[in-house]
Amino acid sequence: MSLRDIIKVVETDGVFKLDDFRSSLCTDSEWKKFKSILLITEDHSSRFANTEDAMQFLDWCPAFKSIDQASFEDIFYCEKVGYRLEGVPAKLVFILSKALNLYPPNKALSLVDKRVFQKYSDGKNIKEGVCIRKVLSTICKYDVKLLCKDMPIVKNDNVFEVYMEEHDAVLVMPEKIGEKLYRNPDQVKLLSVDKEKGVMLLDVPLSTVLAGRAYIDVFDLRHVL
Amino acid sequence: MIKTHKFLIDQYVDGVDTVKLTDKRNYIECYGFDASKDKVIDLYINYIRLLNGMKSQWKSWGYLDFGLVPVVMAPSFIHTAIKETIVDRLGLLGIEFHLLPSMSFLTGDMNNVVGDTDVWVSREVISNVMEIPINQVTVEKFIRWCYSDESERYYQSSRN
Repeated sequence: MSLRDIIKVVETDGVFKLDDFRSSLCTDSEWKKFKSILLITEDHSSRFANTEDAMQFLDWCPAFKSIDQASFEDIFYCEKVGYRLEGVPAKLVFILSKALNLYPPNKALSLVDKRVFQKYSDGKNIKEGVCIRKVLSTICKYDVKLLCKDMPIVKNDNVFEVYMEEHDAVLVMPEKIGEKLYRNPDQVKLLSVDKEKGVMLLDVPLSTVLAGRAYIDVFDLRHVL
Repeated sequence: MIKTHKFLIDQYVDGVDTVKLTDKRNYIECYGFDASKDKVIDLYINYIRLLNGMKSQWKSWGYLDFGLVPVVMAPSFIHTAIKETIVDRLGLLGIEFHLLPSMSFLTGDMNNVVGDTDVWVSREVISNVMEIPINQVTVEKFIRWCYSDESERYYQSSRN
């Protein structure tokens, strides 16, 4: 699945059906119950802070077995991210938040394995009318722009993201480097990658700092200025 | 601090080894490593096994839930050396990798804990190049494969 395919899934709106998945998404009252048990002892809250594994947490703190087990994982990740999005699995929000801590939206999507998206796009996992792009926008707190054929370069927050089709990779550029390319999107196809010089526009390297070697991501130019 | 003999907990005997190296990533003490005799890659494999055996103590799963596995996440004192050799090998084999801020499973710290990036590779990519089922992919198998005849054959066939 290429990034384009992933983006297609992410943009798909209204094709999801709730069906049987809703039963395993938590409700506010269940989450409230989880919070109240969490506050019973300090041990619960420190155990909670010390794992990202819902089942491990349940093993450590059996008091939580009184909570509906079908939605336990969802409640656990709601508490981890600190909010609940109606009709969206909290684990997905948790994973996307982690990726968005590292990269802007399109690059973050390219990091997450396609099976994660397949899992959430099999026609029953996300509430009808909700698409992953909306989830991304909610997490980022701005209207996320996704790369597509007509838009090979987009600006998200204060960085530019460019889709390099040949490499199926997203190039992240700081404002000062990306601005000119953004005004001339036709030039995106003139970008290339050289093993030693990194990403180049025509024959001009955009970054020469050990690009492609051990220390920096050849497709992330945020640190070159 | 966890005390080990070359990252083997059961082989550590208090007071016997004098040479101590400290892994500042996961706060593990490594006694008895002799750079003139021991292979760094074997030490790294011991480290991976040790961390796998301590899964119930992990505070963070890092980027495992993205479908990635940490191919280079070495003890702080040999991280750069391990990284250089493995990244060169991955580059030669044409295997895509992600450089992400170094993190610690045991402390949960995700914020560049050894001052250099870790190397993560998609579990699916490894499954494809090694031709094994995805649920059988492990970091140890992959590292051994990278230095095996099989990867050499993969390299030759990918060039043709």
